Amino acid sequence: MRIANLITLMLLLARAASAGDIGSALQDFDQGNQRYRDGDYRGALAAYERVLQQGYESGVLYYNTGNAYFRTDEIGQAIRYYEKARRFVPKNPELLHNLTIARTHVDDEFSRVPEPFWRPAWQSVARILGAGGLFVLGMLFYVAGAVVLAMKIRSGPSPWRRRILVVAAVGTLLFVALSFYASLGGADRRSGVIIPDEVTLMTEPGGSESDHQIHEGLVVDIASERGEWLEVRLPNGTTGWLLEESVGEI
Amino acid sequence: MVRILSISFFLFVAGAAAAQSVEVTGTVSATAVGRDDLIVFSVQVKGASLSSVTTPAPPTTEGLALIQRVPSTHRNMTIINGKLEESVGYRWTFRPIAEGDARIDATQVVVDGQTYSTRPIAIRVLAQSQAPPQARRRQQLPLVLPGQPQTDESQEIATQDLFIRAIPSKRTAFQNEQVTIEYQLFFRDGIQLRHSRLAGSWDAEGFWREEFEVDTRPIPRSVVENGLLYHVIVLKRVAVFPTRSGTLTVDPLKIETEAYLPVGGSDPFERFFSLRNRFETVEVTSDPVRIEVASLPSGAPASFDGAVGEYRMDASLDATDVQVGEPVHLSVSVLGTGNLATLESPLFVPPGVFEKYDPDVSTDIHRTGETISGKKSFTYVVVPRSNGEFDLPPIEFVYYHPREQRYVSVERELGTVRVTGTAAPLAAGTTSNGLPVDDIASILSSTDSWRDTSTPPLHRSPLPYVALIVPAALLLLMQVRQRHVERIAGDTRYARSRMAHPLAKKHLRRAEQLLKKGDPRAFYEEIERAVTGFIGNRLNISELGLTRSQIDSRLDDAGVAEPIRASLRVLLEECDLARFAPVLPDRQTMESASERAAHVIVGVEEAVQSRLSATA
Repeated sequence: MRIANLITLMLLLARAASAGDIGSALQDFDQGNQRYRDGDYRGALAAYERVLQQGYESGVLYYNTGNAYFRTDEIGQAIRYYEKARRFVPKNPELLHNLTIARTHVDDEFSRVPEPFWRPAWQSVARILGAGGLFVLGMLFYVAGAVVLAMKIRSGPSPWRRRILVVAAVGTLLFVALSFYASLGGADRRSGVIIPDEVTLMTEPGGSESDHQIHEGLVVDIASERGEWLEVRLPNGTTGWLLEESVGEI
Repeated sequence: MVRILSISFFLFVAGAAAAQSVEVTGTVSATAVGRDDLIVFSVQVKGASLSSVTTPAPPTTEGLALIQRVPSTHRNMTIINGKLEESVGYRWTFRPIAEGDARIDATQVVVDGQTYSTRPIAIRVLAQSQAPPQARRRQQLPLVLPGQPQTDESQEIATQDLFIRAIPSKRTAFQNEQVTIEYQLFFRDGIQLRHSRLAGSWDAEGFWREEFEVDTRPIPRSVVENGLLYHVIVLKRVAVFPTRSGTLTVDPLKIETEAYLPVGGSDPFERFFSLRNRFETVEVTSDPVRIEVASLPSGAPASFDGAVGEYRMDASLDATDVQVGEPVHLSVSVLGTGNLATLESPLFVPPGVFEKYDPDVSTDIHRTGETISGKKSFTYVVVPRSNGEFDLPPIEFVYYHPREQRYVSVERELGTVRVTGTAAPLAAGTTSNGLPVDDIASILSSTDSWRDTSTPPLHRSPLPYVALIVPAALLLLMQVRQRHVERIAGDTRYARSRMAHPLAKKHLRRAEQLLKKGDPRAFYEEIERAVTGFIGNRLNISELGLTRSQIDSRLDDAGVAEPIRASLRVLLEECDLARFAPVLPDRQTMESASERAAHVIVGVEEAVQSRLSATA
């Protein structure tokens, strides 16, 4: 049990230590909000950017950034930041409303390939707990298993200890594996938003143009990367290549 | 598309010309005649009264014989646009002398003391059997010769008498370059036309077309071609813009008209009455026009959008100091010649802070000049959504100049727009949960928890790995320790061998203390205990019940070398001596004994270890 306490303490300390000076970031955030209210959307964007540069992010920060981009008529960027915000505050009503409004400015409409049933459930679990939460859960099983194993070493085997050990091993493996999968970006597929007004999908990196033209604001999945080219998958499943600079990664 | 052409049908008025100045033309009834046909040579003097013209002498000829020396004289007075036009005509009749080339030389006409001259006319005289029918007919046109029967029934219009000529401004052009085509209707002097209309459809596939305005009641212009007098009216003028490269064909223009050939005679009453029945319907068709179209050369600037012609551009802003949300109008006019209808709006990309609306476009095309020209205006509305000073990028328009054969880029600077004030909250309805209907919800000021982006992701941080390894390592240690404890409890040999070193060390340490205290007897006791105890533990024997020689033989069995054993024997004897001898050993001897004891312990340990590793 001492070990579990120690690990929790270490995790907490690491978080607290890296949080550093948040005061200046908050000041910039407030300044950005004021600029936005004054109608200086460019100024607001600059202030929000400073917050990000100081190493802080939050759902509301991304939401406000999306609003400022919307006001400057950069729909692609607006959608990109709303989508980023959605990873933090997926149920926020203002965010969902603004995303709906921004999407009405997007020219492209595609039918959507259905998602596997487990994905939304997994995504919400990963969002609520995060990789750290999943890892802590895995650690609880691990430590419990370790304690039971220690008891077994001291006092010899017993049937209930064996059962607990099996459960602990399965729990540990599952949650630690999931935590690493979430940490490696497995919860949210790598995706991006089209930033230019119009781009033509290429059949291969630097290859010939296909007859697919896509427009600003369309959210695409990023399937792979080769040099400065990204392979993107449209919502209808069509794939093609685009230059990195025309996709704003979420 | 059939359009009725309302051409004036009183075109027979000879000499109808708008010109005030004197004009003298010489024409013949036909330029190719049979050996037995007659040729009528007419001299027309326009813009002069009969009194001012001196009756000209008949022209000298070659291969033609003059039938009558005194010309028949005609006088016409026409009122055109309220002006009196007078013309005087003289006619001579000739008969060919022989087959072959003949000629009528220039004729001098003196009008008000000034001499005018007609052009010489070449005539071809053919065998009567080969004579063109119109020649046979033409001979009767101006004059009815006594004794020759009228052959009204045989009258027909020849292509030479009535035709449409299509005149393109050029036969080769670039894609989208303007080419004008004029369709002129030529009809011989004396032919009357009425009820003319366009027959069939006229099309120009592969072209964008712009029609010019043409006079719906045209006044014919007189021209002399090959010595024949024609009246010409413009039927249609059209500008065509090829939309693709290659050889493109413009359809022939076809009209249907009722034409009448006067049956000679100078009697005006006869002419008038003969109008009724002798009009016949004829179709007249122009030649198709072929145009070779070249595609535009490569190297067009990126912003080129297909405009070809000659243009200039004006651009202006209606305001440069505005409030946030107040619209700024940018008026851009492109003026010039070319296909204005399909002209795309010039490229204008304002800074993102401006909301840009699609431009209002108005086109004003002039269809009266030599080419289609005009003005296309684009009015952009941009609304600043934020305050500040913004440099608007220059507006750019690129076109291809076909005469200079190069791309021309026109740029107009727009300058800086200063925006002041703050954005007013947008008036909009709200939904039931308080969100605006057609607009985004405002920003949020209270934030959810901040996350430090500098924290590495879980898989990059060392902590999880440490957290996973530490309990495993602790468990492993625990397992090893447990094994050790269990072995000590159950295996005496193992337990004694594990105890040998610590015990020997303990005794040697005590011996050291006793040496310092100066208690030789106790010192030697401890030395003996350290050495024999170590040997007993290490060899797992009870050292207490063994004699010195038994110990020695056991050591020998254990493979301890003789020098060590000898050293041990000496040391143990020294110990016995020290305990019972009355004279105590000095300090130096005791220190040496301590050293030798350590030496023996090391020697025994080495021997036992090497034996153990040998057996293993």
